[in-house]
Amino acid sequence: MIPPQFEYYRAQSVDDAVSALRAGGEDAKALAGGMSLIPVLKMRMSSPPLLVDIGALQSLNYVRVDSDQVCVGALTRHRDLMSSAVLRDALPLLADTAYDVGDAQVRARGTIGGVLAHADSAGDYCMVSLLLDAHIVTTDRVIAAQDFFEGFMETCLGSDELITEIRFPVSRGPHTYIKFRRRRSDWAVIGVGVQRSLDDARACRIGLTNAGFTVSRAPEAEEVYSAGGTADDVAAAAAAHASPLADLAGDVEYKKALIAELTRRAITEVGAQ
Amino acid sequence: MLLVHFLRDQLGMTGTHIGCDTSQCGACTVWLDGDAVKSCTIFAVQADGHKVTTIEGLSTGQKLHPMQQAFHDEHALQCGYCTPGFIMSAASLLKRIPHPTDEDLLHGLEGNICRCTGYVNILKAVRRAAEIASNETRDDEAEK
Repeated sequence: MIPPQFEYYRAQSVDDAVSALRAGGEDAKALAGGMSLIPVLKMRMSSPPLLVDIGALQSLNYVRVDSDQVCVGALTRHRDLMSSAVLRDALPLLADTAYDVGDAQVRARGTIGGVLAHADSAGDYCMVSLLLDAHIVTTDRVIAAQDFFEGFMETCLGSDELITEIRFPVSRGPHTYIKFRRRRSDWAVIGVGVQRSLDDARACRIGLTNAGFTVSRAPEAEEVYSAGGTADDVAAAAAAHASPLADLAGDVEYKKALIAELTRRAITEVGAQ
Repeated sequence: MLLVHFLRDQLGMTGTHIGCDTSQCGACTVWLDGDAVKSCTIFAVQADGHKVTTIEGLSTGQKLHPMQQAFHDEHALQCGYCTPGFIMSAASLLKRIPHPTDEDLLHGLEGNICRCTGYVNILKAVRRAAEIASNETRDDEAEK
């Protein structure tokens, strides 16, 4: 498939990129790793007049830990995340998640900031950022993850606003992320992420991938967990309160059954860690 | 213009194949600065200033790259359409992980699809290439 025509500009710095986006009007798009945007262009689902390539801005590729938070540069690639010893120690859930994003070719190019800006409900990092109440730092402001995702592939980002960093709380407690996929490199049909507190065995966060228009948390299931419910109770609550969408992968009943089963497995696994 | 179209249509280097329209099959895999990437999911202009290696660039004269030789020896192809992409991915994988476990192989090659489903011999070939490479390293060290 052939993408539509566009102007191309390779930005020299973050400021340069913002000025180019501003000059390009509100349909101009930033191109990071391109692993979601380029397929979208190939399928002609979007035709921005200008692409501002920020992929080469190495200053936004880093993982740093300062005291209680993990700061990840927006252009850190999946492969850098999965192999970062610092991340593996301070936020293993994110390192594990990166290990299972896409495939090797995608992991060599795709970036965490790109995944968040694309805001696919199946975006693994979108779920992790919501799950952990991450903060998304942009060229204009700091946005709480719960305010960031507004709808189907929609964020609150302005057209000339770039994500520069994502800040997660250091989280070393038991955790897992289980995806159900037809093939290993596919997006999750449903994914369930769980992060338990290191200090409080009854404090547990549960996040859902691809179970609605955006990624989501399962607060009712979290409450059942903290009240001492079994894995089956938690799973039932997660499924009962989720609003998955029917698509080619399955109908709503099937998706709810998946949410329940994956939640049950995730809670059981975390309990055994 | 996508990099794969530049390679095939402008440069006439047709060793890099297009197997799908959706960035899923990996047949078009090339190296960009030594990393395996899908040339259907990069614009040619993004490769400006970078080194692109295609299947045509792997052998040294008539001497096949160890991965090509291993695919030949283990009959790791049926129709051959996915082969260039598999070889580029697998050779890149061994550069990063010279002694891969089975999990490393499955994880590292999940971006390439063989529609003949000839995966058993493909995996055999990659394991064989890893052996050839480590024997060559041993020989080199013995010579020193």
